[in-house]
Amino acid sequence: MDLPLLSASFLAFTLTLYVILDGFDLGVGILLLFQPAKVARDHMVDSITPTWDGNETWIIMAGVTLLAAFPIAYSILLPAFYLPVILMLLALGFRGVTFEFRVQSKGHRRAWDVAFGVGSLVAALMQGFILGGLMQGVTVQNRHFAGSVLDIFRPLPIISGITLLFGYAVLGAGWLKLKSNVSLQYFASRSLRVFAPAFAAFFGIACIYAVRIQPGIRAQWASHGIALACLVSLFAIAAGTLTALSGKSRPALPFVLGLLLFVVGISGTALIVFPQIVPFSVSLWDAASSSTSQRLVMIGAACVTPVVLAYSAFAYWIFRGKTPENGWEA
Amino acid sequence: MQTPAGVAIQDGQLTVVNWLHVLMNPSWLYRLPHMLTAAYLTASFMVAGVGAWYLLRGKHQDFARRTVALGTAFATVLIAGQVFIGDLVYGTMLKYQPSKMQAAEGFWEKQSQSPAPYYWFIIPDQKNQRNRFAVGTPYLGSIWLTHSLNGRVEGLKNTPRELQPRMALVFYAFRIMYCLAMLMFAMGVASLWLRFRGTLFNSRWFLWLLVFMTPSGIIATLAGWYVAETGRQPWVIYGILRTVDAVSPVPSQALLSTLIAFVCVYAVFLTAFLIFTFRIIRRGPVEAPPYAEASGSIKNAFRPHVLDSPKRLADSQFS
Repeated sequence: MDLPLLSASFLAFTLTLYVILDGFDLGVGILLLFQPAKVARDHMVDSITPTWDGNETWIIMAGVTLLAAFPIAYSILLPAFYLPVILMLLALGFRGVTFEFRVQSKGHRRAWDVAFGVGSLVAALMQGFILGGLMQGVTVQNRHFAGSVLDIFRPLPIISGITLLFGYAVLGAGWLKLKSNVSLQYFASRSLRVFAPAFAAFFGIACIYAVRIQPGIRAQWASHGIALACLVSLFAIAAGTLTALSGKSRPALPFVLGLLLFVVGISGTALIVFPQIVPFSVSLWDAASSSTSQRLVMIGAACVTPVVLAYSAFAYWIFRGKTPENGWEA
Repeated sequence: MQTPAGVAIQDGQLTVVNWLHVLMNPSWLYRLPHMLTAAYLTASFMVAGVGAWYLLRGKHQDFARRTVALGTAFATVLIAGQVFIGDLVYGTMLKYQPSKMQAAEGFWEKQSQSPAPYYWFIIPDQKNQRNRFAVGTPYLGSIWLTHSLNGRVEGLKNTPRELQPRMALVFYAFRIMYCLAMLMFAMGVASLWLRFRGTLFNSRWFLWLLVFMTPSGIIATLAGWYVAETGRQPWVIYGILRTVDAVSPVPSQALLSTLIAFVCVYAVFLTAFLIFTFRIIRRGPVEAPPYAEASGSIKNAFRPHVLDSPKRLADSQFS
């Protein structure tokens, strides 16, 4: 059995789940910055409180899988993306404590909400930077990172950071549309009307720019042209539908369309990166650890993943339906 | 990392040979319970300390009696176990990382004088491999460390100079942990005595001591980690990979700036945490929910309406 391929598939699975799940709660956090009413902000946070921590377990799984199954890729990518990774962790830390602290705070809840929003925004931006950094290619010499930590602050990562920010805002707005009561429906629709076209536009710019600067992406277009073209058209159709229907659709539709946008985007990314793991220099077989380690990772994943999935499903099931007006605890 | 096992170096790369040996390495069996017990001890002293504060203030008497009784009872049992487990960890480290324990006891010479003192305060001089100044209790070193009246203790000069840890860091971290452990032990014994006499809740001196001991577990745990991590230097994987060789290609300016960012952000977190914790302690237990959410059975957990219980609604300050 091709163990590195299996590990890579598991890595892709965890990353996809992370982007989709934490994507919407980061998105709700970003939208918090645009919501002036305190009651509405409380309601927005209430809608993600039960499930956000479960959502964030997936990035830990992805990190552990990368470390254990592809140690060489880990030792190249972590130094290459050192600054965005650290900034993302700090931002996620801010978000994590704010969930607990904002409720305790009496006079300064607004300040904590700003911290929450900025934390979400920075985390989203940095994840986009990392994606853009992957797409522009990582400088590798002799299986070591040979670029500069500042390589990440180039146009493509910046564009891709903004793209992901808008994308998460779309997911967040879709989630609010699905979970919130009447008072937030208008806010969610308005957010969708702004962020859905912005997301699509920036996604387009990022794609075109990436193809221009990175020959590796051009090569992948040459070999998977039809598949990639289909994905781009699907993305365009979904984004168009989302923008057109944002005001008057069924409550679940925007969220589903948002998920579709992300699944399409992730599939395209996977198609471009595969079979590399450090684009466009180290293949996943070259970066893989010994087969005993791979086997241990897969056994561990087989034991842990069902538990995490079950926990998440349980949380989503208990807190199904609309978020109550006074929060879940009241 | 401390006692690596199950790995081998194959063409310049550290590779795992046996995962079972990696997990069941020589020190895990002692370190795991040592750390777990430390965590429970920390919680016990926190709980007992807050309860003692309420008793001294004459507030929340019922709740405070329960917490003091529970906290001291757990602490007494746990510290007795911890002293024993700690001794086992000490023995393992003496065998696998002798330089750590040589530094922790403050001796430089290959063999200490006999009988050996037990040092409480030293000013080590790493460059000249000696103590500039040392205060100790005669005989105690021999008694504690060799269990005899005139045993000798090995010093840091047994380790080649370039493989020595910094004595000052290891020595003082170890002293802090050790002295706190002895204080905890004394508190445990005192609580037993007071309990036996039936004056556990009205011995004000003891309650005050409990209040002062509230953060003792946190400090002792941190000091313990300092012993473990500074004491194994210059190795990051003991005996296999040196810390200097493990450095990533990230430039030091980037590391310094993120370190400063971490310190600043976590200072904010800690400040907020302390403010909120003190506020919650001052507010007292009255507003805590009378029972856990979805209590009773797992079946209740599937019923969202349990969360809307009117009792909780009345108790909740945020409704």
